[in-house]
Amino acid sequence: MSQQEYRKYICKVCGLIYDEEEGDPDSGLAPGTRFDDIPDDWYCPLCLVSKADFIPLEEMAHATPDDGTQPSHKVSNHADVMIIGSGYAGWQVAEAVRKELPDAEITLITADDGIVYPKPSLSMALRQERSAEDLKEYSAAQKSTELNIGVKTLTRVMAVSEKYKKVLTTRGNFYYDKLIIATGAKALKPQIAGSVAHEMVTLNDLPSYRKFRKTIEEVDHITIIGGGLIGTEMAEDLVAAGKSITLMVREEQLMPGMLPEAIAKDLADKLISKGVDIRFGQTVNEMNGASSAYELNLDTGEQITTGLVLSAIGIAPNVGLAKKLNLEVNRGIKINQYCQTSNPDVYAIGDCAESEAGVQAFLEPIRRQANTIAAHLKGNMDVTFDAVSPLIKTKTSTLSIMLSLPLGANDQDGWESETDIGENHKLVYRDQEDHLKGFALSGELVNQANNLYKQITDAA
Amino acid sequence: MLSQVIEKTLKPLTLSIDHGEYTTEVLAELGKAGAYTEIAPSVSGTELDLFKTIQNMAQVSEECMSTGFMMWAHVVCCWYIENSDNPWLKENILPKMINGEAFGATSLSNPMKYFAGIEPLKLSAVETEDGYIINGSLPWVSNLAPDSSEHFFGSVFHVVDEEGNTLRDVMAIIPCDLEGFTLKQQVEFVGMEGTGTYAMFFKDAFLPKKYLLADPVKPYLQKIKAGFVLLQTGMAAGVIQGMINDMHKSNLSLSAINQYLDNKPEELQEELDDALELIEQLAGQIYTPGDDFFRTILEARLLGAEITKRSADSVMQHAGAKGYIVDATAQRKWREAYFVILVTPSIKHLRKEIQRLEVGLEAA
Repeated sequence: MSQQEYRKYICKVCGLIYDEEEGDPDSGLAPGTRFDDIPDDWYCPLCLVSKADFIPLEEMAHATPDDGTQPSHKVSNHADVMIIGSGYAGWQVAEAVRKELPDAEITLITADDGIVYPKPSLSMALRQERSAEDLKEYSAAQKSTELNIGVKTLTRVMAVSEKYKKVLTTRGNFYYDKLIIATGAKALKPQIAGSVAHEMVTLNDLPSYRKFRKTIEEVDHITIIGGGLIGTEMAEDLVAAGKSITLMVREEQLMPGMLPEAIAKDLADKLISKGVDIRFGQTVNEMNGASSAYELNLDTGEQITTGLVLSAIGIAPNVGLAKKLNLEVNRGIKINQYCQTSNPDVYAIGDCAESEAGVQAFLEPIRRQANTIAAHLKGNMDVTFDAVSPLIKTKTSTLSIMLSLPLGANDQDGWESETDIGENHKLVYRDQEDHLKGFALSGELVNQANNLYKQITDAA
Repeated sequence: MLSQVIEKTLKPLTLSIDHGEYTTEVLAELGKAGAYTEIAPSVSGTELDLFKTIQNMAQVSEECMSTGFMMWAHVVCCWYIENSDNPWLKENILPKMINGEAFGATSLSNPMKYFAGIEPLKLSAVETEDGYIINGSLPWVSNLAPDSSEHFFGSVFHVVDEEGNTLRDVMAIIPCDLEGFTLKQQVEFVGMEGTGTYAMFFKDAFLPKKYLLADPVKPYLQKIKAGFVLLQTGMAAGVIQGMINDMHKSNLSLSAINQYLDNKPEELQEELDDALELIEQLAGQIYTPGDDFFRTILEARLLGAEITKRSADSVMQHAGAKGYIVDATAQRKWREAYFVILVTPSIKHLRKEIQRLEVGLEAA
């Protein structure tokens, strides 16, 4: 019997690729496991959607910038539902609202080109050798035609009038009945001195990824500032791509506030053995020089020369429009269980929103928030949004790590080590009544993650 | 002080300026009244306050945007010198301009298009030991007077070798009484006629090196470009306010029927106030480097043009047939408004450039 070729399947939600040849040992799928043979209760190890959300890689739609598609739906001056922002949250809520309200006039306004792409794949695309163009799924025109909504691209909302229920944009005014803010978050850069500090780059959208891919072809040494999830993953990917990497970590461990020290230590050792130059407890004071040969002055007095500086110190929700509308804003835009802001006609979703659990910059809450908003717009009060702690799988190939933090937890003291064999760690987090609230697993023990996570979510 | 100049000197001249009369009288009075002080800390010893300059320009444009435009050309030229490292210009030319004894202009429309890859640069020069011999011509530069020793403008030209190969680009201030330099009035415009607008011709015109603003020009342009663009919003803000005022005037007798119109003066006022809030914020951090900041500057400028466009339509509709009479304020403002929409950078240029900065690609 001839051996059929291994195929690849992609998660439509987050862009994770399941390769039959490699399997997914972390969730117990041995290399060579056919997609058809995966149990139906398996879920995407990255974003937790079901097996049904995967499609063969070659069936993935690719937008071409000049495919000639014109939006079939004209943008109305007045929208029943207006969405600002075209990230995952913006398109997701557009889809959910259209499903609930087939006849509503929906308008989506976005400052960028509105291209639909899976955001989490930005940090995987480098390893998968996918270009920015490979990540595109649909153009804004294609997606708006599919959903039968009006879309305004390259149109920045400059102000919102609470009184007139109107947005003022660089392409005219548009009126709304209900407004959904999906403006996401911006990547932060550390405040450092020097003549070219503004040339530090971030990686938070498709255009920045495109530029980044181009630049890294021309440089050998890259400095990453920030030892969180993204900084660590990027360090690993870039070193695998043959670059020299210096990773500046202000704190004393990788992914502080998230990863237990024992696992962070093993991960750091792995990175160091791959050649990553990790500087714990050090910061950059000044950035001078010019493109491809920047001079960085560190707080230790040392000077390093580097070709590119990537900031990965975190994100800040975009709350400018919310402030113009006098909405209640903390770190993000405050939302209730229906995702309404302090103005009942205005909703917020995704990275710009802050629920009781704080700002959750993950994919997981967005789909549920979108369904809640769509249901609420239809008058259905039964679909509430309740934050849960997400299951996180780091995209670090040198050491598999999966964890789920208790909502609001941010300290090292609560962890209790259950297993500690070499790089295989299991730490758990229990409340006073001994209920499992969180866990962190590394190495081969990550195969317990799904069961543990079920325990937590079933109990909740 | 400023309002007195507008009331006593400008207002009686507004119609004749619109009909094509060029005068430096108003610019001189504005200088005496201190309308340019805040753009030149090196002369005035005060702090840079670009927003104050923009507000002054808006106040003038509210009455007459032709004058507001000349004021823009003038203060932009001051901005060039203020940001240069040329002490001779700062000591000998800039104080006269700030006091209203000399007049500034700018011919950067062509260089801006050149740097954006839209047109070739139209001036070139051969360098000598103490100066440049300039050749070439430029269309449509404003706030100039033939053979005037009081008029100066900023310009960019190629420095070329004897075979005509470009070595580099430099920027300089050029006086209008340069030998070999001539001005010619070639076309008549429907608005903004009294702005001293000419085509200029250089034939082996020798410019001494003391007039040099920047060599190399690129880092200098990075420094001045945000201010250059943001200052233009003063014209937009002023003409919009002027149109809103005229709508209110029309509503004194026509409010019953005007309620059927879109873009009412109250709504436009709210939009203008929002835009000014943004402009003030940007003016306070004008030297911020990087593409993100410049994109926001372009968006503020685009927003100004967009509100201007809707106001221009609305001011005519609010006025009705009365606005269609020769010399009616509504139609004068409407003609002035189209200048904000069409002049470099126009709405189409702004959209193109914002797209480039936003998605890192040229338009498909």
